[in-house]
Amino acid sequence: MFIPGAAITAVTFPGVVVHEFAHQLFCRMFGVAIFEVKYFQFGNPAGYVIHEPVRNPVHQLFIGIGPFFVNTILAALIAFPAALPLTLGEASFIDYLLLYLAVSVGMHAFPSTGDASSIWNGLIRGENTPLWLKAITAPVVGLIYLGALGSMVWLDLIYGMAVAMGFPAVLMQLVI
Amino acid sequence: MELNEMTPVAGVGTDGCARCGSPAYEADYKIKLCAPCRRDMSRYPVKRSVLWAAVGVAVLMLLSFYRFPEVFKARRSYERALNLEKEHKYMSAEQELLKTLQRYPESLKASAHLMIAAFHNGHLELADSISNHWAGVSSKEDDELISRVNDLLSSMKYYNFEDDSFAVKYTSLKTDTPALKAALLQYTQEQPNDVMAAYLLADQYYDEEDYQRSDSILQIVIKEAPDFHPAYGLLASAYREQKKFKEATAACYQLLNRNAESVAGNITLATILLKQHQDQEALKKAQAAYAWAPNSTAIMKTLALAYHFNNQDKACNEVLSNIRQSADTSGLAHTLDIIKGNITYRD
Repeated sequence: MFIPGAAITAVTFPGVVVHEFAHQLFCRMFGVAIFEVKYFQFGNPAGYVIHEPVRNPVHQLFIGIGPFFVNTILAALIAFPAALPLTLGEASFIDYLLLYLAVSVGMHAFPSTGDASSIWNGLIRGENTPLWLKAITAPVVGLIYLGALGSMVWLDLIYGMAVAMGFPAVLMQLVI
Repeated sequence: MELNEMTPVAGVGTDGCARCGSPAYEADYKIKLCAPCRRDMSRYPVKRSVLWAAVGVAVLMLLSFYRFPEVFKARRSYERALNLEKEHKYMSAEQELLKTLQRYPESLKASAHLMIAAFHNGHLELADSISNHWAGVSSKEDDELISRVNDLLSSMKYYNFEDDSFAVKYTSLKTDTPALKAALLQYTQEQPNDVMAAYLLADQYYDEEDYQRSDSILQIVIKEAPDFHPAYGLLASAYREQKKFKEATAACYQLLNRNAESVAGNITLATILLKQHQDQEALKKAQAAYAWAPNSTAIMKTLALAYHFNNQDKACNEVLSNIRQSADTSGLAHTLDIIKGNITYRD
């Protein structure tokens, strides 16, 4: 069944908001001036953060991939207490609501192709980028594009569900 | 998405901060901004609506974390029970599932697993009460689990007489041993496939010390109904009394392979080991069984014997004292006779 990407994005808009917030957070951490933040809109892109060109190329990398960490951690945190009763078939309305939020947030953990493009332009084409950083960045950008490709086969949803439900299950096996 | 922009900001001045015009702008940046303006612009305000939504999510998370300790314990017990079940440690699994069901009494999955554990532990009343509670409920959640429960329900029929009227007759004849045996003989000829009746007849032969006849019936029972667990313990005991210790041990392990924490399996094995003078091993088995069912007089009697043969008289006397205080003191005199040396228990 084909579901338009825009519809999926609309349904999972909390993830978009957190994704943009993550970019914003890393800009703030590195003292990068921000000109505009759009947390969510019906359109392409669904959200964006416009900031000044970054002086330190490492900062550019972290601003670009920041959502991967923030969205993943937040999704796991939201989901963990809600996912535990699910296996027992005893999840409440609040649990389901939190799981929806967690899956939405987890789904949007992957940096977008727009993010990949910014990282590529800022780092690979950057004059001041050291070679070792370029060597790290190139596969990261490759992975981002692979992730974008994977979203055509619901990789983003699978990742969101893995973080929201798989992670608590694995953790429980470790603590018992 | 994040975008690098050379977007000019308000208050452009070619030789000063692009925002406030201050000449003390930071060098090495593509956009000229003084440090306070850059810091200020990096702290771009988060929209009020986003903040309120975050507060809402935080409240939901707080609610969720408030009951987290209980939920965590219940889920941990459930996961432990599943692992214990895989290891066929049904006594421990049952205890863990009871903890889970304290928090989630209506959990179908936990109930189904408890029913399986209770059945293997011989706690048939508990298994039966669970099956009655969930009778008629359909679930598409876990086909494998439901199939196991259905198999178990089929096996539970072995624990009852096929003919209900005989159950009444059996109860009425319980105190009249010869009449009871005659009735069982007649009934098993009429109903040769009745597992419960065959088992009780074998038990009668065992009580009469006709161990050969008892074990031959029990071997057929186990072949026909391998899920009828009481037969293994009685078969092992029948072999033990014939001094066929190898066969007796094998029968115990048949049961212990089905339920590593089987009280009957462990306690019968303990008595077989005692008969073979393997007293330390016997004590370990008796102690394990006692830990799972501390109120069982049968276990306490074996434990007392194990302590006695290990020369732990103080512990032995404590157990004997516990038996005297329990509701069921049957067989205590026999145990005391063994301890006092009035009966020869082993070669």
